[in-house]
Amino acid sequence: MRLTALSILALLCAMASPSAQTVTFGEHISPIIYNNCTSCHRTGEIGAMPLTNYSEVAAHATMIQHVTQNRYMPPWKPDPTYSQHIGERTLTQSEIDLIRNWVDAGFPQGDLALEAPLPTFPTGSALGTPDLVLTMAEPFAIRGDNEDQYQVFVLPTGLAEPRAIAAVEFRPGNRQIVHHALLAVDITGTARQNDLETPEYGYESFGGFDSPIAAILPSYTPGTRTVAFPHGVGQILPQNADLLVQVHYAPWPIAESDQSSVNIFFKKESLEREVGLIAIVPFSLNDIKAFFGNFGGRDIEQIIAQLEASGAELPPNLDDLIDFAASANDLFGAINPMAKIEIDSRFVIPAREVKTFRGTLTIDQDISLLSIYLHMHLLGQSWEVYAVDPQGNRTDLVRISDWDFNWQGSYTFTHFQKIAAGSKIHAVTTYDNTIDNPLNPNYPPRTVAWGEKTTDEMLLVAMEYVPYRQGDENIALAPSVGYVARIDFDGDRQRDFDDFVLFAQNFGLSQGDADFQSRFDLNRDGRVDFADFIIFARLFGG
Amino acid sequence: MNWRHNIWVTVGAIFLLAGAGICAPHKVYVFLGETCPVSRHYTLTLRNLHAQYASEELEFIGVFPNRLSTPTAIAAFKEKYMLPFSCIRDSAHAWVNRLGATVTPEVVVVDSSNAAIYRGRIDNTFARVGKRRRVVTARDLADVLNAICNNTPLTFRQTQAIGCFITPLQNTAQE
Repeated sequence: MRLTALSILALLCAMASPSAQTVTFGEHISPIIYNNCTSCHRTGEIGAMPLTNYSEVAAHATMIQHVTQNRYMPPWKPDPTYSQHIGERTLTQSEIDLIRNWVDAGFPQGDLALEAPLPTFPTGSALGTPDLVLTMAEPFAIRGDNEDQYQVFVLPTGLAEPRAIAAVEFRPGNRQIVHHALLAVDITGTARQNDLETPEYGYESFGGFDSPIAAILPSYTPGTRTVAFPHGVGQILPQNADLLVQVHYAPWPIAESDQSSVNIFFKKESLEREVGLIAIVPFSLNDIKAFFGNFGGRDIEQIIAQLEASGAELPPNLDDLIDFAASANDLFGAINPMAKIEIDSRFVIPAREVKTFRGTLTIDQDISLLSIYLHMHLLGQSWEVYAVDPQGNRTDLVRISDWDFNWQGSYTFTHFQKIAAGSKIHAVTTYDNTIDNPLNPNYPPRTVAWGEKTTDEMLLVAMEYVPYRQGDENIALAPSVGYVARIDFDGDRQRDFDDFVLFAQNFGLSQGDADFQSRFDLNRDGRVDFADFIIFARLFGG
Repeated sequence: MNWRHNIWVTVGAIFLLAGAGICAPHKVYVFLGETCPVSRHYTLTLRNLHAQYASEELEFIGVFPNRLSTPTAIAAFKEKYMLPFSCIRDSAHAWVNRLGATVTPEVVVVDSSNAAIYRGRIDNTFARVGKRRRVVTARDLADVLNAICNNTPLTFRQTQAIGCFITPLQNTAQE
């Protein structure tokens, strides 16, 4: 037996875990609440229930117990046991049990001398001084009619030359009503034109930007940790580009207003690898491109009439292609259609049915994935995205069993995920178009196909990638601030000696050993060895 | 047509017209929490229901059972979300216990003899916390208030309110 003394130490720690009778706020509950909930649950933030001291937490005790047990809170949709992403906001089962026991015992205060300190929450940028700050030109007034609002704002960058982006940080103006924000880049002026055509500031658009897109930037949800690209890696912001921000304003019963801003940080070093985007959508972008061409601005009906007149053979799924072509054309600038994308059926979700789609994307060169963004609408229920290499080895990328449109976002992997040439990326999605889906926007249900409206559906997996380089697997895509979940083996939100003890206990084990646990194999090479220790050491502390 | 006939027609018409506005004396207790997002959401619905149904005979009363709900906090919430009815504090849970509310928002409608005739949700907007129906298909409180105003006899009915659980008073002497 290796490291017996350390094993005994760990055993003692386990034996010291508190029973139901002794759980108190001061000792046990305050660190869980303050480190997982309070960043959003304090005055002026989106969480309505303030949780900054004993009396506030105790006053909401029953609700805290309820929403942690059913894992509605903290809001984090990807399954952390399937794949790991930066900024995971999840409680461990033992933390959830502690809360339950504490509430059942009458939420005792205990010794406040043992209370965890409230974290210091940044009031300005979490990253430092931005190189470019783009602010909404004027406050936007929401209607206050208890309906969701999705408004696109066009923020001109005025850049004289293209610049490489290191990080993008969305800063909500009114944190109570800004639910999430999607960011993209337009270089055609279409979005500006859209704005001019509506009387209000910005323009309303639910499913997308209603404009051709040159790039998709990292999205914002409350509690997001801004992730800076690794050294030499970045995204290009073209000269004179317009930044598009689609803000989702939560349903609100009275009028309010918001004036949000975006901080942009440029690369100090020269760009070695530009971040590209690949996507899984229900149709082959290549087919559409081949069929319609880059028809930007031209009337689809007109194109089809011309094709018919010329005697061209029309594809059997023409209706789908027409629906899809409009938004696909918007995405052409942003997405590199690496390979033909196949889906096993037409993208139609019949009324009163639950429907599953399987999409596949073949990767034709070695690449490293940085992040994955998922998008579907209100009928969406679940996602599973994974890669299988030519040898049959599987890499799990993301799984969501309880999709919530309100909590969509992009998920950055803790490390570059290598996808070898010849791999297939599979996406399995399920939609519920029955009356049992309370979010169904059609009552009674009607058959739904592709479209950008609330009552339509979408299926989009967009993945940021760079061409693979030797050693990418060891590059941690660490958040600029905050704690790194990956080596927090005991889940206490600290990267400390206890984690080292657990790591040391597993040192030397290989895949196939009875005790082997992949979470200690930080570089995923099948062995917990010195290379993992180097990664551990780099992430240690804080 | 004689004058007697005309009088009866007139009297009948007055009763018909007035009938829509005359509701038997009832009270609608609305349990609310100013830190509960679901309570906040329903302030718009409550304003609309109040405008449509409230009268001298049908009174709305907001009840705030959370122990953090100070008179100042309640007044601020009432003003910000424009609640058009009086709001009372229930930190000792006298109303909670008497009317059996467990969640905010939850409504309890009582008749002139203080007997409950409805307890539960305002409507079915929320399937569960965080799952907001895009098409509301049951307007329970409006149905009850309609029935009262139409003098339709009602037997006690209960639905499950969805919202923020009312934390019971502490059962240990910790503070």
